[in-house]
Amino acid sequence: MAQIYLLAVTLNVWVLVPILAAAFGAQLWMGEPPCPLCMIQRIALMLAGLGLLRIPFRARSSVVTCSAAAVGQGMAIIAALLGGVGWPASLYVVLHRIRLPDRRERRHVDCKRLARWRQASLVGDNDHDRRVCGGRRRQSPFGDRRGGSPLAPAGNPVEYLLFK
Amino acid sequence: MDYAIFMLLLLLALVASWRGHALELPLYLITVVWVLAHLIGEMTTPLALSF
Repeated sequence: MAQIYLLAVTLNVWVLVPILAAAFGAQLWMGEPPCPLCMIQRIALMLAGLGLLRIPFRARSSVVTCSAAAVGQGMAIIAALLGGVGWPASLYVVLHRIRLPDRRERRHVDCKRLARWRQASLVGDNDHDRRVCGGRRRQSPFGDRRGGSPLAPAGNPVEYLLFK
Repeated sequence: MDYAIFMLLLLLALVASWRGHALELPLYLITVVWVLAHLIGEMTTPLALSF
Protein backbone atom coordinates (compact mmCIF):
# COMPACT_ATOMS: atom_id res chain seq x y z
CA MET A 1 0.00 0.00 0.00
CA ALA A 2 2.84 2.38 0.81
CA GLN A 3 4.30 1.81 -2.63
CA ILE A 4 1.02 2.72 -4.31
CA TYR A 5 0.81 5.81 -2.13
CA LEU A 6 4.35 6.83 -3.04
CA LEU A 7 3.58 6.23 -6.71
CA ALA A 8 0.49 8.44 -6.47
CA VAL A 9 2.41 11.22 -4.74
CA THR A 10 5.19 11.05 -7.32
CA LEU A 11 2.63 11.14 -10.13
CA ASN A 12 1.07 14.22 -8.54
CA VAL A 13 4.40 15.98 -8.68
CA TRP A 14 5.03 14.90 -12.25
CA VAL A 15 1.60 16.18 -13.29
CA LEU A 16 2.39 19.57 -11.79
CA VAL A 17 5.61 19.90 -13.79
CA PRO A 18 4.07 19.78 -17.32
CA ILE A 19 1.17 21.98 -16.19
CA LEU A 20 3.57 24.68 -15.07
CA ALA A 21 5.83 24.30 -18.08
CA ALA A 22 2.93 24.26 -20.57
CA ALA A 23 1.28 27.32 -19.05
CA PHE A 24 4.51 29.29 -19.12
CA GLY A 25 5.39 28.11 -22.62
CA ALA A 26 1.93 28.89 -23.99
CA GLN A 27 2.03 32.39 -22.58
CA LEU A 28 5.44 33.06 -24.07
CA TRP A 29 4.34 31.57 -27.38
CA MET A 30 1.29 33.83 -27.49
CA GLY A 31 3.37 36.85 -26.56
CA GLU A 32 1.69 37.35 -23.20
CA PRO A 33 4.26 37.37 -20.39
CA PRO A 34 2.79 36.10 -17.12
CA CYS A 35 1.25 38.73 -14.86
CA PRO A 36 2.29 39.11 -11.21
CA LEU A 37 -0.72 37.10 -10.03
CA CYS A 38 0.13 34.32 -12.50
CA MET A 39 3.58 34.20 -10.96
CA ILE A 40 2.15 34.01 -7.45
CA GLN A 41 -0.17 31.17 -8.43
CA ARG A 42 2.70 29.25 -9.99
CA ILE A 43 4.91 29.71 -6.99
CA ALA A 44 2.04 28.37 -4.88
CA LEU A 45 1.77 25.35 -7.20
CA MET A 46 5.49 24.74 -6.86
CA LEU A 47 5.15 24.96 -3.08
CA ALA A 48 2.38 22.35 -3.27
CA GLY A 49 4.71 20.12 -5.25
CA LEU A 50 7.40 20.67 -2.65
CA GLY A 51 5.07 19.42 0.08
CA LEU A 52 4.28 16.32 -1.95
CA LEU A 53 7.95 15.72 -2.74
CA ARG A 54 8.72 15.72 0.96
CA ILE A 55 6.89 12.41 1.35
CA PRO A 56 9.10 10.28 -0.94
CA PHE A 57 12.15 12.11 0.43
CA ARG A 58 11.19 10.94 3.91
CA ALA A 59 10.30 7.40 2.86
CA ARG A 60 12.91 4.84 3.77
CA SER A 61 12.72 1.51 1.93
CA SER A 62 9.17 2.29 0.79
CA VAL A 63 8.02 2.81 4.37
CA VAL A 64 6.01 5.98 4.84
CA THR A 65 5.45 7.25 8.35
CA CYS A 66 2.18 8.90 9.29
CA SER A 67 3.94 12.11 10.30
CA ALA A 68 5.77 12.37 6.98
CA ALA A 69 2.51 11.90 5.06
CA ALA A 70 0.61 14.33 7.28
CA VAL A 71 3.23 17.09 7.12
CA GLY A 72 3.76 16.69 3.38
CA GLN A 73 0.05 16.69 2.56
CA GLY A 74 -0.49 19.59 4.94
CA MET A 75 2.18 21.63 3.15
CA ALA A 76 0.57 20.78 -0.18
CA ILE A 77 -2.90 21.76 1.05
CA ILE A 78 -1.72 25.10 2.48
CA ALA A 79 0.10 25.95 -0.75
CA ALA A 80 -2.90 24.87 -2.86
CA LEU A 81 -5.15 27.15 -0.79
CA LEU A 82 -2.69 29.98 -1.38
CA GLY A 83 -2.81 29.33 -5.12
CA GLY A 84 -6.59 29.07 -4.98
CA VAL A 85 -6.81 32.50 -3.40
CA GLY A 86 -4.90 33.83 -6.40
CA TRP A 87 -7.77 33.16 -8.80
CA PRO A 88 -10.44 35.33 -7.14
CA ALA A 89 -7.67 37.81 -6.37
CA SER A 90 -6.86 38.13 -10.07
CA LEU A 91 -10.56 38.61 -10.88
CA TYR A 92 -10.74 41.26 -8.19
CA VAL A 93 -7.75 43.08 -9.61
CA VAL A 94 -9.07 42.94 -13.16
CA LEU A 95 -12.58 44.08 -12.25
CA HIS A 96 -11.89 46.59 -9.52
CA ARG A 97 -8.37 47.90 -9.57
CA ILE A 98 -7.71 48.66 -13.24
CA ARG A 99 -8.89 51.92 -14.72
CA LEU A 100 -8.81 52.22 -18.49
CA PRO A 101 -8.07 55.25 -20.62
CA ASP A 102 -11.23 56.70 -22.13
CA ARG A 103 -10.36 58.03 -25.54
CA ARG A 104 -6.75 57.26 -26.24
CA GLU A 105 -7.22 53.64 -27.21
CA ARG A 106 -10.62 54.03 -28.82
CA ARG A 107 -9.47 52.48 -32.09
CA HIS A 108 -8.86 49.16 -30.36
CA VAL A 109 -12.42 48.83 -29.13
CA ASP A 110 -15.27 47.32 -31.11
CA CYS A 111 -17.95 49.62 -29.72
CA LYS A 112 -21.06 47.68 -30.67
CA ARG A 113 -19.69 44.46 -29.25
CA LEU A 114 -18.46 46.26 -26.17
CA ALA A 115 -21.84 47.80 -25.42
CA ARG A 116 -23.63 44.52 -26.07
CA TRP A 117 -21.31 42.57 -23.80
CA ARG A 118 -21.53 45.20 -21.11
CA GLN A 119 -25.30 44.94 -21.08
CA ALA A 120 -25.18 41.17 -21.17
CA SER A 121 -22.66 40.90 -18.37
CA LEU A 122 -24.25 43.66 -16.24
CA VAL A 123 -20.79 45.06 -15.66
CA GLY A 124 -19.63 48.56 -16.47
CA ASP A 125 -21.60 51.75 -16.94
CA ASN A 126 -23.40 53.25 -19.88
CA ASP A 127 -21.89 56.68 -19.43
CA HIS A 128 -18.40 55.27 -19.80
CA ASP A 129 -19.52 53.43 -22.94
CA ARG A 130 -20.91 56.63 -24.38
CA ARG A 131 -17.74 58.56 -23.67
CA VAL A 132 -15.53 55.89 -25.15
CA CYS A 133 -17.63 54.84 -28.09
CA GLY A 134 -19.52 58.02 -28.92
CA GLY A 135 -22.99 58.12 -30.41
CA ARG A 136 -26.24 57.69 -28.57
CA ARG A 137 -26.33 56.47 -25.06
CA ARG A 138 -27.62 52.93 -24.88
CA GLN A 139 -30.41 52.35 -22.46
CA SER A 140 -30.09 49.33 -20.29
CA PRO A 141 -33.23 47.48 -19.20
CA PHE A 142 -31.68 47.41 -15.74
CA GLY A 143 -31.50 51.19 -15.43
CA ASP A 144 -28.65 53.66 -15.30
CA ARG A 145 -25.43 52.06 -14.21
CA ARG A 146 -23.32 55.20 -14.11
CA GLY A 147 -20.55 54.83 -11.60
CA GLY A 148 -20.96 51.11 -11.30
CA SER A 149 -21.67 49.25 -8.11
CA PRO A 150 -19.59 47.27 -5.63
CA LEU A 151 -20.41 44.06 -7.45
CA ALA A 152 -20.29 45.51 -10.95
CA PRO A 153 -17.78 48.34 -11.00
CA ALA A 154 -17.59 50.88 -13.75
CA GLY A 155 -15.02 50.62 -16.48
CA ASN A 156 -14.82 46.87 -16.75
CA PRO A 157 -11.64 46.12 -18.72
CA VAL A 158 -12.43 42.49 -19.51
CA GLU A 159 -14.24 43.39 -22.70
CA TYR A 160 -11.37 45.60 -23.75
CA LEU A 161 -8.95 42.79 -23.24
CA LEU A 162 -11.18 40.36 -25.12
CA PHE A 163 -12.24 42.55 -28.03
CA LYS A 164 -9.53 45.10 -28.54
CA MET B 1 13.37 40.87 -7.85
CA ASP B 2 10.72 39.54 -5.49
CA TYR B 3 10.03 36.59 -7.76
CA ALA B 4 13.71 35.75 -7.93
CA ILE B 5 13.82 35.68 -4.11
CA PHE B 6 10.71 33.50 -4.03
CA MET B 7 12.31 31.05 -6.42
CA LEU B 8 15.53 31.08 -4.43
CA LEU B 9 13.63 30.36 -1.22
CA LEU B 10 11.76 27.59 -2.99
CA LEU B 11 14.98 26.03 -4.20
CA LEU B 12 16.51 26.31 -0.74
CA ALA B 13 13.43 24.63 0.76
CA LEU B 14 13.66 21.90 -1.87
CA VAL B 15 17.32 21.23 -1.09
CA ALA B 16 16.62 21.31 2.65
CA SER B 17 13.77 18.84 2.16
CA TRP B 18 15.99 16.58 0.08
CA ARG B 19 18.77 16.63 2.67
CA GLY B 20 16.35 16.39 5.60
CA HIS B 21 17.61 19.65 7.06
CA ALA B 22 15.86 21.29 9.99
CA LEU B 23 15.40 24.54 8.07
CA GLU B 24 13.01 22.92 5.63
CA LEU B 25 9.76 23.85 7.34
CA PRO B 26 10.84 27.38 8.35
CA LEU B 27 11.89 28.09 4.76
CA TYR B 28 8.58 26.77 3.49
CA LEU B 29 6.59 28.83 5.99
CA ILE B 30 8.57 32.00 5.26
CA THR B 31 7.91 31.53 1.55
CA VAL B 32 4.18 30.93 2.06
CA VAL B 33 3.74 33.95 4.34
CA TRP B 34 5.77 36.20 2.07
CA VAL B 35 3.86 35.10 -1.04
CA LEU B 36 0.58 35.74 0.78
CA ALA B 37 1.77 39.21 1.81
CA HIS B 38 2.83 39.86 -1.78
CA LEU B 39 -0.60 38.77 -3.00
CA ILE B 40 -2.34 41.13 -0.57
CA GLY B 41 -0.01 43.89 -1.70
CA GLU B 42 -0.94 43.24 -5.33
CA MET B 43 -4.63 43.37 -4.48
CA THR B 44 -4.36 46.70 -2.68
CA THR B 45 -2.14 48.53 -5.17
CA PRO B 46 -3.79 50.46 -8.03
CA LEU B 47 -2.82 49.19 -11.46
CA ALA B 48 -2.71 50.90 -14.83
CA LEU B 49 -2.97 49.17 -18.16
CA SER B 50 -0.45 49.99 -20.84
CA PHE B 51 -1.44 49.02 -24.36
